Amino acid sequence: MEINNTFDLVSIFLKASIVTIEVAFLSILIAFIIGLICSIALFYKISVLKTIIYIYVEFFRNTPSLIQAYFIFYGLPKVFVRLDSFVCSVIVLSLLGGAYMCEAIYSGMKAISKNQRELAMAIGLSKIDTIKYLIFPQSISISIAAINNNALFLTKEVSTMKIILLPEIVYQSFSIISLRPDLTIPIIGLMILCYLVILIPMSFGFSILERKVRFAEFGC
Amino acid sequence: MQNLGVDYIIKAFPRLLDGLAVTIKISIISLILSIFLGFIIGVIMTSKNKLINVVLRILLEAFRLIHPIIWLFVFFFGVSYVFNIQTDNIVVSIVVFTLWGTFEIGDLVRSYIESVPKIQFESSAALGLSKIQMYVYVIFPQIIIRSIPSIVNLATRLIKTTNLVFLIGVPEVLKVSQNIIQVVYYSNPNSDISFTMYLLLLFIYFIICYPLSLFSKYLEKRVSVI
Amino acid sequence: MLLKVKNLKKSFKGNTVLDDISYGVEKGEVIAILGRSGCGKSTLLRCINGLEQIEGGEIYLNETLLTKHNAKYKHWSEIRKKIAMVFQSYDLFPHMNVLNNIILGPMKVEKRSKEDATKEALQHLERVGLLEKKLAYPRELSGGQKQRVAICRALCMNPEIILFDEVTAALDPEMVREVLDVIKGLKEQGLTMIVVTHEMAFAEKVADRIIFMEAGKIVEINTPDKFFHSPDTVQARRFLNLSEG
Repeated sequence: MEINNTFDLVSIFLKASIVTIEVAFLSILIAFIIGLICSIALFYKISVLKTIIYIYVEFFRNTPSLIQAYFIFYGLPKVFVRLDSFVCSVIVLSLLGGAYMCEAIYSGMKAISKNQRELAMAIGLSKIDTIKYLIFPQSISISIAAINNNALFLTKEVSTMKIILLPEIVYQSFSIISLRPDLTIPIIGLMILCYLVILIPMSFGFSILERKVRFAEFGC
Repeated sequence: MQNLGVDYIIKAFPRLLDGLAVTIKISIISLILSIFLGFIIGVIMTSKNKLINVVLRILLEAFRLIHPIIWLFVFFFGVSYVFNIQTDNIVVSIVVFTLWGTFEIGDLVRSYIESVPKIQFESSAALGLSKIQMYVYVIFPQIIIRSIPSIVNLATRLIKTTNLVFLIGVPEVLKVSQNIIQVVYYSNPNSDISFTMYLLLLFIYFIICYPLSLFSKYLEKRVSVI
Repeated sequence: MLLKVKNLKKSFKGNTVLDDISYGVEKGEVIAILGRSGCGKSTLLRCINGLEQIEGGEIYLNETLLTKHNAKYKHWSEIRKKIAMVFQSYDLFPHMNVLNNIILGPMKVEKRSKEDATKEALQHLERVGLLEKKLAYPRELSGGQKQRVAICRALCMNPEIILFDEVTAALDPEMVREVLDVIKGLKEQGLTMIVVTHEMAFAEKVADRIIFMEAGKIVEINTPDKFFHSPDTVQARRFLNLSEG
């Protein structure tokens, strides 16, 4: 790549930031959906599903995300299909995030007292309706903090996807620095700046979201 | 699916274990230093001095918000550029992970110290204990027990994240495995060794981290009863 | 005079909590400080062993000046070997058993040997009737038992004066009796004590002198006999619900 002036440098980081945001956004979304589905499946207490989900969650939570990424990017193509780094990143982060989201959402659901579930059953509410109208709305306010944390965590983890050649911020930093070590300071500055600009508003937005959700639930 | 490369892996297993040892060593050293420094920082964080508080909070958020991979980059390349010295990659790794762990534990310890009833501080003072004696004999024993689950949790996260250090050239297990794979490809371009290798690594890490996380959950239950 | 307080002043966030307090305590005397909640009696006690900083006045122990404005912690460590305090709420260290709770102070502050401190600790425990609980943990004890252990802990430091800060206020009535009996026993041994309390009958029986406070000032100092039956001041009468006249 050609870096003739500041503009070139900044535009590289800008594009990398956009990639980061795209991957993060998709991963968070899919992870949330996976977590939701798993939580509902656990709620139905089907023992076979319970075991599968448990293995899934524990596997992704107890192995390094880097090796997961390497496996899916370099290992799977041998038996499956070659994936590009963007898709791979989203898959890895979604699966990883899904495991964490499942924990977050399910523990919120568990926390809703047994009474509520029995109450719903007594009224004759179907299980799916119980979840939709009774459990989920209440559990959201308990889980929201953990959900937000997971989202921030996933956004930060996008940087580790550098190792599977995702052209995000850290990847570009490593590439440029080998060509132009004289630019070390501006690179470091831009790297940190980009992440702060992404993470601080996110974190801020999440606290507001958390407060709104809690207010709706607890009125405080 | 030809040639899973199992025989190569078996031959190269000792090298893999060496790489793993490097990762574990960095994690353990960082953990021990973090615990030690973390408790000290935790006490300092309870100080009423506004300046100290603000500075420490900023450092805490810096290490929480920014991923260690970025700090590895900053310390490895940045320090070498600014001070014109060759940075040792293992030293940088330990420094970065120690700082990360120290601030995490520090914040934890701070919140635990603040939750100890004020009367304990006053009783110790009324007995005539010095500040250090008070912390060593009365305050710390009470919070060490409570902090163990979080420390085990941090240990697990350290072990999982230390892989990153291969990016600054440390010969840890991921790098070693890459070398092995490349060697195999050279003589056997159609080998599926990467599939087996990474699967094996995932499995190895799982057997290390899963018991730790079970242990942490067990401890949490025990601690909440006390 | 063992303890002398002169013109003590203390404010808290602009409010005067102690206003020109002066009194003296002789060796072997038991003083009971009475007054409504918030009149400053606990604060007064806490100023004597340095848990609260004073803004004016002096405190003397054995003719040596104790308090300096903004005195450092180390200075107070020395003094607290001579002035012990027992608190209202359960201040035993939860992670140590009864014996260790008691010998921590003597061992670490007075640098006594473990055997020496243990011997004395067991003597005190026996005197308060809790010898068989020496290895129990605070969470296994009742409130009254905890307070009796706290008193042993204070006694083991061999202080010249013991301060009691409403030590029975958080106890059930049955346990109040057992703790007050211990304090009565200490008086018979000749210990100098300052007791802040709500227990009027106890104050009347045990105290040598009553100090009655209101709104940060000492209103009346008198013998228990006179104070409880014919106090000098109107405020004291009102406090005791006696007819004003």
